[in-house]
Amino acid sequence: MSLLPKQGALGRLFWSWRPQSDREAGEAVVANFLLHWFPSRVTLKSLSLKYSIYLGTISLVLFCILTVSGVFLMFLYVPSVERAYWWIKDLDYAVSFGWYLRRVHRIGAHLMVAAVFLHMFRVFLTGAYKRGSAAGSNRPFNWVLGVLLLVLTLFLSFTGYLLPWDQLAFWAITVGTNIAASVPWIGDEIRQFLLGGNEVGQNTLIRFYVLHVFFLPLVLTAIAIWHMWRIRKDGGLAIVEQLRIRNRERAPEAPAKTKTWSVLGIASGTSVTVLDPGTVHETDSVPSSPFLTTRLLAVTVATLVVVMLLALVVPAPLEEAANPEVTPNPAKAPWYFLGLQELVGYSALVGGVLIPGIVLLGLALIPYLDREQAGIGLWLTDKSGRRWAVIGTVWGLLWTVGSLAIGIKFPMREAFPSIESQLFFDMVSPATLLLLSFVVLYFVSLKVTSSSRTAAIATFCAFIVAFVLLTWTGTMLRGPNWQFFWPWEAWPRQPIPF
Amino acid sequence: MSRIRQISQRELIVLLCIALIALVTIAVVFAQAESPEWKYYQSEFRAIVAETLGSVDVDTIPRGIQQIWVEDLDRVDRCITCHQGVQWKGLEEIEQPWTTHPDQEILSSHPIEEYGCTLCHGGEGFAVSEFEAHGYGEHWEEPLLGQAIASEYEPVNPPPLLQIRCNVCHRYERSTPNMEYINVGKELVRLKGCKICHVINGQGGRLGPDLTHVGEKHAEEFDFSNLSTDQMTIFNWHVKHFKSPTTVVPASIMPDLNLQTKEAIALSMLMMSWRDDSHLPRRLFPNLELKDEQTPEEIARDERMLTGDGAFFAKFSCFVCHSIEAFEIQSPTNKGPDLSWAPEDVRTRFNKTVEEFLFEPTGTMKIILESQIVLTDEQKWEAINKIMKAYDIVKNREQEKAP
Repeated sequence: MSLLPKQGALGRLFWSWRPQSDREAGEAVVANFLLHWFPSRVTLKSLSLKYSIYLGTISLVLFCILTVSGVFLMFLYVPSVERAYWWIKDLDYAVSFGWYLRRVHRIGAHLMVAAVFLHMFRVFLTGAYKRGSAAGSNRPFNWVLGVLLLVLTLFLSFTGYLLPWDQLAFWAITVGTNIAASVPWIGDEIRQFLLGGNEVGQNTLIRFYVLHVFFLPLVLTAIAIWHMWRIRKDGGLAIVEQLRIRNRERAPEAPAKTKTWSVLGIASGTSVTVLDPGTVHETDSVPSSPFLTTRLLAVTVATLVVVMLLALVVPAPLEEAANPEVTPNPAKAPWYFLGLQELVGYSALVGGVLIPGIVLLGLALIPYLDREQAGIGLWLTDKSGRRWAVIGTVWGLLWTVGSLAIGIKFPMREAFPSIESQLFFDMVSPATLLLLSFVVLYFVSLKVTSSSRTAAIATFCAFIVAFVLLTWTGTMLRGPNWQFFWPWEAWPRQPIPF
Repeated sequence: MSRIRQISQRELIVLLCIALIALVTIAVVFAQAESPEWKYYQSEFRAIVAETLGSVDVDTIPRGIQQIWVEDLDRVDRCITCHQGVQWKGLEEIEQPWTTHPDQEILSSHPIEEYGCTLCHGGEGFAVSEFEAHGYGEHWEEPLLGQAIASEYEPVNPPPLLQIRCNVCHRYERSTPNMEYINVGKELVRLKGCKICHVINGQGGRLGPDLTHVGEKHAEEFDFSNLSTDQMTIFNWHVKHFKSPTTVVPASIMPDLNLQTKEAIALSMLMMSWRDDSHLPRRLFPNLELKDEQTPEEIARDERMLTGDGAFFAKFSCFVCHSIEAFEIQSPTNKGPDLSWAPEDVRTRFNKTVEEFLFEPTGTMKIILESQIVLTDEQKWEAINKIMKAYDIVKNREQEKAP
């Protein structure tokens, strides 16, 4: 059975839109206000799943799912320390579909954090932060907007973490804001600003609630719109740059004959066309509608399906009501901060301030440190990039595992029992070692290859490995009293009342 | 007009498949939401009523989630969603969850509309599925105190743990009908003189920890490191601790009370019932004066202890270990020698006078006087004078008795 019969009721039922000409396809975009978002034509390379993996789209779809489920949840929630927990209980047990709504919102939030991280990894690894040759392109700036969106996503998730007001929420926020408090001089003020007091309480709840449901989504929406508008202004996805380069070598074609409209009526001849040799060739592209719209619909529904299926099988936990008197053991921050918490365990100053500071600053500055224009839009740029990606990954693996081993097997305070200076243990810690190994990797790769892009690839690959390993260690391998447990080792049992 | 490239069939088939999975998922979600456990119990209940009590129109039995909301208790109990028959007559022979409440007398003195269910039974009133509602979930700290949990401790003769919750309100009563375990515990507290060292219900000595709200103590606050057991529960900790205090807490100065297992269980239940009751409405308490009931003899004995020359030794808890025969003070433990004979006793054992010993103690008394009973020089002299006075009294008595 063909899904695309020329006529027939079945064909119409499943698919009615079959543009017969470029103009018809283009008019579909022009005539539909929502489709103005898209260009009239889109290159096949941009559509390729292998290139973008649609991670940006997935992040946006997840954000939309979160907005819709979040608005429903707002009808069913009161940001009060006395009532919040019990409203969540009602949501789980008595409200129609309440349990499902909460699961969708929770799993969607975790997936969004993951998708945004993966999107950043993809954009870096394909060198899509580079300016390129299109007029008015400023991809480096869009990368900075992306880093800002990442931070906003993390902060949105973090503020939402507190709202159920259970033990998990209370202590994750306590631990999370304690990491912020390790900033020298102004740490306590930052913490006080976040919490609206000296400890997590009603002031914190209302602060986090307003940030979570109003302020942060608003800012994130605005910047996300800006982010996507810039993609158009930057000349599309970075891979299009390769088409431009190829087309520049072609002989320019004469503009097509067409009708043009003048003030006095219809005139014949050629249209006013700027012959830019960098323009994408028609044979490389297809009409956005239906090619792009269909793809986006598929990605959107697929994301929705993944969230809905996961929500069916992954329950949203609700621990005991928040109790400032009883600290759960171990008390952990949200998973995406557990790599940081692991480092803070070695040194609050280096792990909690220096490394996240350098990482954030480094991320934002990547496109300004690496201005090479070769291989834009190609995964790992070239052969040397691929080689150094492997070297960076192995290097990151070795040093992260090494630092973790030192941190777990030879705690510094036991190795130097006679030294009391906190500064000494801040400086001589596995966190510092890890930081230094990255600095060495960057400069060695820069020296050997004389390419800022290759050095960036090596360092970034090592960063991904370290991030994943540290997060995994903090999440899965740290038990009561922050002790290390292998995955096959059972944690000591926690006592219960009966 | 030239034909243009059309979208591939494969793409559309993929889209169609994803959309189909989405539809199926939505259907599954609806199916799951539409078939909660309680619907089965409610339909069974209607069938049982139709069979057992033919005269009742089953359509009048309410459907959907049922709940009791007790406003001043701030409690919502949805137990009656499944336990629909608790207030019905004639379902006594039916099994759980449809049966009539087994004790109608208690139910009439504790109306379900004023007390709810979980206040007495434990469990999670919000929940509407068995496992969660019975409070067996990982994150609910007050499980249903029924047979299932009690038989973990004593499979043959499970203790009636429910009495723990009765005693949250009945704690100030001397004894309460039908609360035999708790009553045994309360009797033991009086017999063994627990209040000498511990504050209980707001009164008592300060040698040991305050036990007035010990039932609020959280599981994490208990040290299980010296307890070799699979049952890491507060209840088990208390039972083991009562049977041998120093095994569970090696540094403890609490005496071994030589208790039977049943007595240890009774005392543990009593301990766990001592909750913070300040948030509970006063209407719930049977004895409106919120302190322990005492007999006239007990009041008189307490007064005697707190007047006269012996009052000093009662005030500073010396009598916990030492009797003072001369002042009619009887130690509940008699761990140390009678202080009336201290001048002779100290001389023979330490070769010191009482003054020397009190100002420069050795052995156990050195530890006690440094940490537990810290006296000023003035108080030490007062103690010495009183001990000498007691010595004179017992010496005189001895001489009178002598032929």
